[in-house]
Amino acid sequence: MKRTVTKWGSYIIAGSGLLISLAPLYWLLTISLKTEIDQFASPPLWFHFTPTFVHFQEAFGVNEFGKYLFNSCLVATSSTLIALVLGIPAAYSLTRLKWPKNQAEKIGFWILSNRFLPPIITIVPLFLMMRNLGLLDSPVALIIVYVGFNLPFVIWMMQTFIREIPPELDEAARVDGDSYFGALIRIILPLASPGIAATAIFCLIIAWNEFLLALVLTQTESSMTLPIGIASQVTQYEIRWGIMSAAGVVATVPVLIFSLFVQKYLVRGLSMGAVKG
Amino acid sequence: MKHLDLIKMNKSFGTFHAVNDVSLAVEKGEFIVLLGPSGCGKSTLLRLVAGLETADSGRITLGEKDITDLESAKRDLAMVFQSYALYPHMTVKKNISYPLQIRKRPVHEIEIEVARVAEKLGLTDLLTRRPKELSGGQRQRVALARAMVRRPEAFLMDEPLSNLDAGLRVQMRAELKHLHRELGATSLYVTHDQVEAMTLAQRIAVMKDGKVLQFDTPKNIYNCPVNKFVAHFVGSPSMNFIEGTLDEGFIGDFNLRLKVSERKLNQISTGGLESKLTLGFRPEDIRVSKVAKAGFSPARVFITEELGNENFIILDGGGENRLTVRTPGDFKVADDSQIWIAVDDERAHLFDSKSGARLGSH
Amino acid sequence: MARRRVLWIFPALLILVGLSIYPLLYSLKVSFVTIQGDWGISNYTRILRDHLLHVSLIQTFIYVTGALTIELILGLFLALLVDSLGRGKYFFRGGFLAPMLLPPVVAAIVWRLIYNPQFGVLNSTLKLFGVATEKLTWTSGEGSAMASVIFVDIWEWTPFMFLLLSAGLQSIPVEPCEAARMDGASSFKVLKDIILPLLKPTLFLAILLRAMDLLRIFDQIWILTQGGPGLATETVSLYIYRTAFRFFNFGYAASMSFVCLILVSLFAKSLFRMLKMSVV
Repeated sequence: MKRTVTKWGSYIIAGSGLLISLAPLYWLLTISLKTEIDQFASPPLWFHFTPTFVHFQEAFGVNEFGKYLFNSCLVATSSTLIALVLGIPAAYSLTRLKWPKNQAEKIGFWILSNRFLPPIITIVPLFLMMRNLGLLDSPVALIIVYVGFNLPFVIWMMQTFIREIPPELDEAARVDGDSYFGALIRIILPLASPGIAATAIFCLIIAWNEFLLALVLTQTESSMTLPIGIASQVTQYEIRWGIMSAAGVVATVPVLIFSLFVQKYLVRGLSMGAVKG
Repeated sequence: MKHLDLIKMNKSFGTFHAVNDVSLAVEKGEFIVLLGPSGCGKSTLLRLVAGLETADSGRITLGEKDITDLESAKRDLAMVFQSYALYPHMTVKKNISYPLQIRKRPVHEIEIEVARVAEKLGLTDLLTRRPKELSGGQRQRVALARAMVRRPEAFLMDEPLSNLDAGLRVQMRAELKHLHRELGATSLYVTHDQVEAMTLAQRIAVMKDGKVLQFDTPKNIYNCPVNKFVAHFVGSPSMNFIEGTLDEGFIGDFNLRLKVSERKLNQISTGGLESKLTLGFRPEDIRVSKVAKAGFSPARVFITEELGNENFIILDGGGENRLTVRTPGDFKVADDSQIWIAVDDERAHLFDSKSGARLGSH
Repeated sequence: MARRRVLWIFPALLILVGLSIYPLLYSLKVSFVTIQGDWGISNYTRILRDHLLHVSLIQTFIYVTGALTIELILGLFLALLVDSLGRGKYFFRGGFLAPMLLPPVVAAIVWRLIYNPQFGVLNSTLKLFGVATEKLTWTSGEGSAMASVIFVDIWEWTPFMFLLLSAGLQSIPVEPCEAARMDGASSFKVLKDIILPLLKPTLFLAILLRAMDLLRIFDQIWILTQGGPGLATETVSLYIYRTAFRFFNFGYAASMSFVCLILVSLFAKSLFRMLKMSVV
C-alpha cells in the first residue's frame, strides 16, 4: 500500500515539474499566434483563441527577421564546419599520434580551459581587433570568433569519440599500407560519424544561441543574428510581443528538433566529455 | 527439520516466465546448490528469496517466519554477489562492519565481531585497504566476511566463484566447503558449473526453463538422472547418447549399433519400447577392446586425447555424433582405427527420445 | 613523426591562440592605458574604490550562490525521483530538458512576458485566484528583481543539473546498493551511505560546470532587466559591458576583466582540486 502511494506521489510531482518546464514554452507559442488583444486578455487565454499568423508575416516579411535568420544560419553552419575541419585532425593527433610524456594531456587541458574563459574578458579586445581589421558588423567576424568558441569543444569531444575506436583498427589500416591521413579519412571518420554528427549539432546549437559576442560584434541588420534581432525588439518604449515571440518560436524550433538527434550524447556534450551519458 | 521453505514460487518478466511454480524445502544447516544453464531461473529464484525481486505468487518461510512480504533488510539473510558488490568508497573494515552498524550495535561489539571474521578469512592485514586495492580472491573473501559477520539465518550466494581464475576457484571451493562445515549455516548457492555443484552441495536442484527438474544428492543425480537434460548437464565429460528404435536388441544406425541386454529391457515397461529411444552411458561406463568380442560392437576412432593417467578416445558415432570413452592411460590406439565397445549395462540408461524422461527404475 | 602531429594540431592551435591568448595580451595592454590616454595603473587602483563594481560583485555572488544551491538540490531531487520511476522515465527526462535547450534569449523573453506586471500571464493567473497583484512587480521591483531573475535561471538550468546527476546515478553500480539492502539498510540509508558518496565526483563536476557558467551570466539578465531596476540585478558582466560599450572606457573594462579572470581561475582551480580528490 505504502508503495503505491509513494509511486503516485512521485508521478504527480514529476508531472508538475514537467508542467512547469513546458508551460512557459507553450505560452510563448500562443503569444506568437494570438492577436494583440488576445495576448493581454485577462483572464489569460490558454486555449480558446483563434490563431493568426500575422506576427510571423510581419517579422519575416516586413521586418528584418528574414535577414537575421539567414545570418544565424550562415554563421552557425560556417563556424561549425570550420571548427570540425580544424578540430578533428587536432583531436586525432592528440589521441592517436605519439606525444612526449604528458604533453598531450597538458595541451588538451589548455584547450579545455579556453572553453571556460568568460567571454566578458575577450569581448573588449575582440571588439577592438575586429574594428581594426574592419570586420565589425560583418558575419565574418562572428564566424571567426565562433570557431574559436567551438574549437576547444570539438577537440575535446572528438577526443572522447576517437578513444572509443579500438586503436587496432587504424593500426591494421596502416599495416595494410595506408598513411595516417588515409587512416583518418577511411577508418576513423566513418566509425566516429555518429560522434561527429553529435558534435556538429552541439556546435550549431551553441553558435545559434550565442548572444553576447554577437551583441558586441554586430551593429546593423547586415550581420545581426536571430538572438540579437529578438533582443532589439525590446525597445525602451514599446515591446512588440507578437513579433518577438514569433521570432522566438522560429529561433527555438530548430534547436529543439536538433536536440532530439543528439539526445544520446547530451550528457557527454554538456559535461564536455567528462561524463559518458 | 525444514528451515527454508519455498512454496510454488512464480516470477515472470513480461512474457518470460523465469520461475515456474518452484517448490523447494531446505533443511537446517544444509548446503543446497541451484544448478542450471544461463536463463534457467536460478539467479531469479535466489533473488526472490533475498527479496530483491517480488514474486508474482508463492510463499517463502524461514524457520517459523513467513518472509514473503518482508523487505530484504528484514529477512535476516546474507548475500554474496557474483561481483562481490563491495562498497567501493569504504575500507575493508568499514565494509565488513556495515551490517552491524546499520543495526546500531555498540562499537566495541562491532570491533570484536569484525576482528573475529577477519581472522577466520585471513583478512586481518587488509582491513585498512580499499576494495580497488585488493585482488579478486581477496575481494571475494571480504564479501564473505561481510555476509558472515552478523550470523544470519541463512546464506545466499550468487555464483561467487565465477569471476575468479581457474586455480583460485578450486582453492576457494575447498575453503567454502570447509567454512560450511565449521559454521553449519543453511546455504543456498547458485552456479552453472556442475563441478562446483557436485563438490559443494549436499543436495542439488537442477533447473531448466524456470522449473526444478531434479532435487537430490549429487550421487543420486549422477547415477540416476531423471531425464536426458540432467544426465547430460552433470558429469564431465558429458554422457554419451545414441538414438534409434530398438532393433533386435540393438540401438543405433549403420554407423554404430550397441547392444542393450535383456535384463535392461525387462526393467522397462513395455509401453516405452516402441517409441524412439535414447541410450545414455557415461564415458567411464564403456568397455573397450582392440579385438572383436561377443556382445561388442565395432566403432571407428576419430581422435585420441592423452592426458597422462587416462585417455579419452573420441569415436565416430555417425554424422556429427561423437562418443567419448574414458580408458586408462596405457590403452593406446591409432586414429582412424577400429575398436570394439560394449556398454556397461548396469550403468547405462534408456531415455524416451521425445520427452527425455528416463525409462525404468534403477 | 613529430612533424605530423604538430602539423595536424597547428591550425587549430593557431586559431585558439589568436582568439584567446592574443586578445588577452592585447587586453592587458589596454588595461594600462588610463582614461587620459597615457600609461598608468589608475584603472587597477580604481577597482579598489569603485563602489558600483563592489556592488555588482556582491550581486553576482548572490546570483551564483542562490541559483547554484537551488539548482543543485532541485536537480538532485528530480534525478532521484525520475530514477525511481519505472515506466515513463525517458518521457519525463525528455520533457524536463526543454528549458535548457532554448536560446537563452528566448527563455528571457518568455519570462519577461510572463513577469509583466500588467499583462503577464503570471499576474493575471494569480488575479484569478484572488491574489492582490499590485505589489507583485517581479522583475520591475527593486526588492523582487534579483529573486525573479534567479528563478528564471533555476527554471532554465535545473535540467542541466538533473541531466548530469541522472547520468551520474546511472553509473553507480546496482549491486552495492542491493548488498546494502541485504545488510539491512533502509532506502534512506542506502541513499545516504552508498549513493551520495559515490555520486560526489558527478556532484562536483556539475557544480564546477554550472558555477563557471553562472559567473559569466549576461544574456538573461540583459533581456530581463538590463541590470535594473537601478542596480538591483547588475552583475559583473553587465557592469563591464556597460563600461566598455556605453561609456567607452575600454581601459577600465579591460582591467576589471583581468581581475575577474584571476578570481575565476582561482575559484575554478580549487573546485577542480576538490573534484579530483573526491573520485574514489
